Amino acid sequence: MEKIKKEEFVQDIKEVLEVEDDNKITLDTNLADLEEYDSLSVLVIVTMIDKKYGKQISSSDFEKNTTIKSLMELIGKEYFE
Amino acid sequence: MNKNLFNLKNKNIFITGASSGIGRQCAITFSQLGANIILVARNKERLEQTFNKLKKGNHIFFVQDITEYDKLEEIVNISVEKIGKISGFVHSAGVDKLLPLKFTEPVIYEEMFATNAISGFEFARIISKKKYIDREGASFVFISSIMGILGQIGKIAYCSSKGAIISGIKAMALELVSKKIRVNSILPAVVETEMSKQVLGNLSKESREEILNMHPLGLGKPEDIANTCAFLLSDASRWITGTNLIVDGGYSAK
Repeated sequence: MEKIKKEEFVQDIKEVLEVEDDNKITLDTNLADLEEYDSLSVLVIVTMIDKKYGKQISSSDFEKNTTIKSLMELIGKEYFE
Repeated sequence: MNKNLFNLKNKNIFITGASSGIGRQCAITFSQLGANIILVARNKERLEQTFNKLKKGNHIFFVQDITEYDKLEEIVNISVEKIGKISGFVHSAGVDKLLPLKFTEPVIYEEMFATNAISGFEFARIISKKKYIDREGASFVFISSIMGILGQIGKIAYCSSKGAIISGIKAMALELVSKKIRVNSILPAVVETEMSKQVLGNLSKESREEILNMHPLGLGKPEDIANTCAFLLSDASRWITGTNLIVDGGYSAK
């Protein structure tokens, strides 16, 4: 499988959360602090990862640490460039 | 009481099935209440006729088969660019067919669900995006049917497609609360439109009379549904979401 580009992954997260500001998100941003984050966001992110990357991650694992870095760890760092 | 509670002034409202029947009346009524209307339907001639009946405003129309799902976002995009963000959506497009189960093959369900339910859900998905929706809040209204909760011979596909709306709007209402979007549906009984006249015309005289007798207040007029719809789009209904509102002249009271 082709490795996932980090920039593309960050962009995907921004897109599903409908974050407008281009500079707002880094790997360490706590997504739960974003204005756009709400009760649906976990489901939206987990579904996007499953649909686009074919990886299933657990919502409850993600909820423990809601950064992109933590998402990448849950998916498996080896899958990223 | 705030007198402006029931008006639709400065609201941009998107209507499918706007060329005839309930959709056409919705467009006319909403324009009289001060809204800007985005009309979508397949038939250009009838769409233009509706367009010409609107009270002056910033209106726009699109000739489009709404089951061509990949074309829908462009329409929404152009609408928002031209008249601004959307604060109301009414899915009034619908098809009906009288067919006994024996002839109701999968393709019949697919076609009927596509127009009656899925295209409406798809528009809701697109319009609810942050870049298209009015941040102050919005209201979506789906025109279902009393046939979504009651049966009728020869209407298996129609009834089930209208039933899909009834359950779909409840789930959608819960999801869209965070965007301040309310989602409701209206369940009319028989309303005098070109479509219902055609369907009634295919029935025997006896069945037609039976249907008339089932409506204690008589058959409905498109205005009856458009007025209810205007209420659900207005700020007067700000605490109503996930509701299926029966407007049937007493049909289901029996």
